[in-house]
Amino acid sequence: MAYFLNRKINETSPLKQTLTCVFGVGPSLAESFCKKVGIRSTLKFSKLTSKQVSFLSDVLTKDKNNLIQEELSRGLYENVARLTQIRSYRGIRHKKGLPLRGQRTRTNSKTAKRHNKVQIRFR
Amino acid sequence: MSRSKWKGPYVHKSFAKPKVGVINCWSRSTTIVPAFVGKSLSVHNGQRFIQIKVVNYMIGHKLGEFAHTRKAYVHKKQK
Repeated sequence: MAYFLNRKINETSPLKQTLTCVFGVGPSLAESFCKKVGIRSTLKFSKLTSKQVSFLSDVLTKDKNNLIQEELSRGLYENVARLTQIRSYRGIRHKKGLPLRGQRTRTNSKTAKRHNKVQIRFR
Repeated sequence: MSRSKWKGPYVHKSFAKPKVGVINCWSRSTTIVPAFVGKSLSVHNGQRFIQIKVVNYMIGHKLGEFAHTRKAYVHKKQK
């Protein structure tokens, strides 16, 4: 198993797929990163030289428009923490794990109960 | 649907005059603007006034977000 930015990745699949293992990088962003670095997106990760890999990780971590990994998850957590800290309605709903935007809670609201209470993590 | 930007944030006309001390207000839809920071406001929740102290992070939120209109439901303890 190979590692890239402290993430386990499958090195035999094409590069655009392996990059999506990184939290905050989806299919379209992975494609654009490949273009930026100048590597074909269908190339396998195991075929890359160590220089290319380090350059790729450099581009991903230093890109200011798209936060990834710890920075992104911390940012998401801070957004929720700010709401609870100022004791706004949305913050309290987050704390209780209920929907934030006036949906019904008599029935349903399963998604909110699943997501809203959980601390956002990328692992 | 969000409010048009050219209108600016909505602030009730009762806030136009400067007042001293804790301000009672019924306008829950007023946006908190930077001028409110550090002030104590008491916002009506339909039944009574709830005092809030405006801090920096509250800017951009509405006053009503901080004065909850519903009582939190608590299960009765079984005897």
